[in-house]
Amino acid sequence: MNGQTREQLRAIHAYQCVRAVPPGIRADYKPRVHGLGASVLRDGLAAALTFLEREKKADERAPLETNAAMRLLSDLAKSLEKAPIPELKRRLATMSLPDAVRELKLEEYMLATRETLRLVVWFRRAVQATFKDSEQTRAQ
Amino acid sequence: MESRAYLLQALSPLHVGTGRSVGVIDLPLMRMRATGIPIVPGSSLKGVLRDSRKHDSDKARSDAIFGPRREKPGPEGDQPGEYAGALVVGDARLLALPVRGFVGTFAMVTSPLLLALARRDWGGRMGGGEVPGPVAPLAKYQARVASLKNSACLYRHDGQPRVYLEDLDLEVENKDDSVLASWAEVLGRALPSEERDMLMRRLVLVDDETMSFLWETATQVDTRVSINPETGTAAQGQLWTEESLPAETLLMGVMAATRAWHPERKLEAGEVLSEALGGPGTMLQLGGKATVGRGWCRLLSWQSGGSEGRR
Repeated sequence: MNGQTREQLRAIHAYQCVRAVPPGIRADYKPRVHGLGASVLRDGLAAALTFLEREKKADERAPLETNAAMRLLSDLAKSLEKAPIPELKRRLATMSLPDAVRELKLEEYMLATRETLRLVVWFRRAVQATFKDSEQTRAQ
Repeated sequence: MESRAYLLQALSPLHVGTGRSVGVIDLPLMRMRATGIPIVPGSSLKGVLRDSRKHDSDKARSDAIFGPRREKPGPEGDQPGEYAGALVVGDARLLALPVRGFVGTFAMVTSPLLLALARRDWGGRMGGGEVPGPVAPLAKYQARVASLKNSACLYRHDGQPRVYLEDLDLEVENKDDSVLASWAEVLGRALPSEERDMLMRRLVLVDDETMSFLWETATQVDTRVSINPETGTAAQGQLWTEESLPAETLLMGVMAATRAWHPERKLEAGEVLSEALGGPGTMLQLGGKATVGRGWCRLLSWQSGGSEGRR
């Protein structure tokens, strides 16, 4: 017990990540956050992450600064590293999040799915609270 | 007080929600707090049942069953009445969730916990006979079917039967489960005759851990949008997600009744229950989003034999 609830820890991390999103990619970051939960529920975690992963561009030099999908994957990976899913943590040391999730066994896959859904709730809240209406954003 | 279990069979996606949420889904389903099992609250069902009888000329009979109508809507109208309604409508709880599969199109998935709760609802007896016994426990991420020969959902890989439910590839125990077959047979008795063998062919028992994952992640999620009447395109910020129980879902609950308290209408508890449950397969529209086709359900019960439980 570290004196904070798991929801608090997820919230702290999500707000840190969202506040650090560069203004130039917020318009792309927001709809990806809003759509991720429904995508996980409809298609499964592995497919939802692969959907983000396809935005990776081979010639991009600083994808975390300029690519909202890569930024969101990175933010989720950092969050999931801290979740109590040892097998996922071990794989994330050497793999990208989509690769790591694709290789999980059923039990860890279920845990990772549930943890991601809880995280996405806080990412959604943080995006709604942090990104100002005046910023150019797509409809959810 | 007499009680009778009932089944709700969703014929279209069923959205009985909690209102707007800040979670992953904007309009999530109502669920039991401790377990997360999706439910249709008794209050929703009672209101719909009452509404379905509103054209009856016998207002006193309706009031005797459902209670006197409030003079004013909302909490202001919550005044003590001269008599209470005779009917108690319990929440309907998920019993079997249709889950798409690679083999057999879909399976009706249930678990030892859901069947144990159904047994409790029945109170040991159902119309015309004893309730099937508890199913044997399952190892984690395992499944079992009533009959390996008759199941529509099995695929054999190296001799090992498996089911493919959504993303989950589960090993099926290589033996028939006679208790599960009894459940399929007894539950099927409430269904219309042409659908009675559906459960025998599609019922799949999974462990509670897997079941809870499915009732969290295998519901129907629809994205909806408002159209801006000026432009004919999606309105800014008017995109939302709704969660529903898929068509074919089975839920189970209990209705109970006392004799009627209405000063002019004397009804026995059994009559109250029969009136509330209606004829076989009464059609109802439950929950929200009615105008976009949500919430068509059959209300089913086991009335032959007339052996209601007493509480």
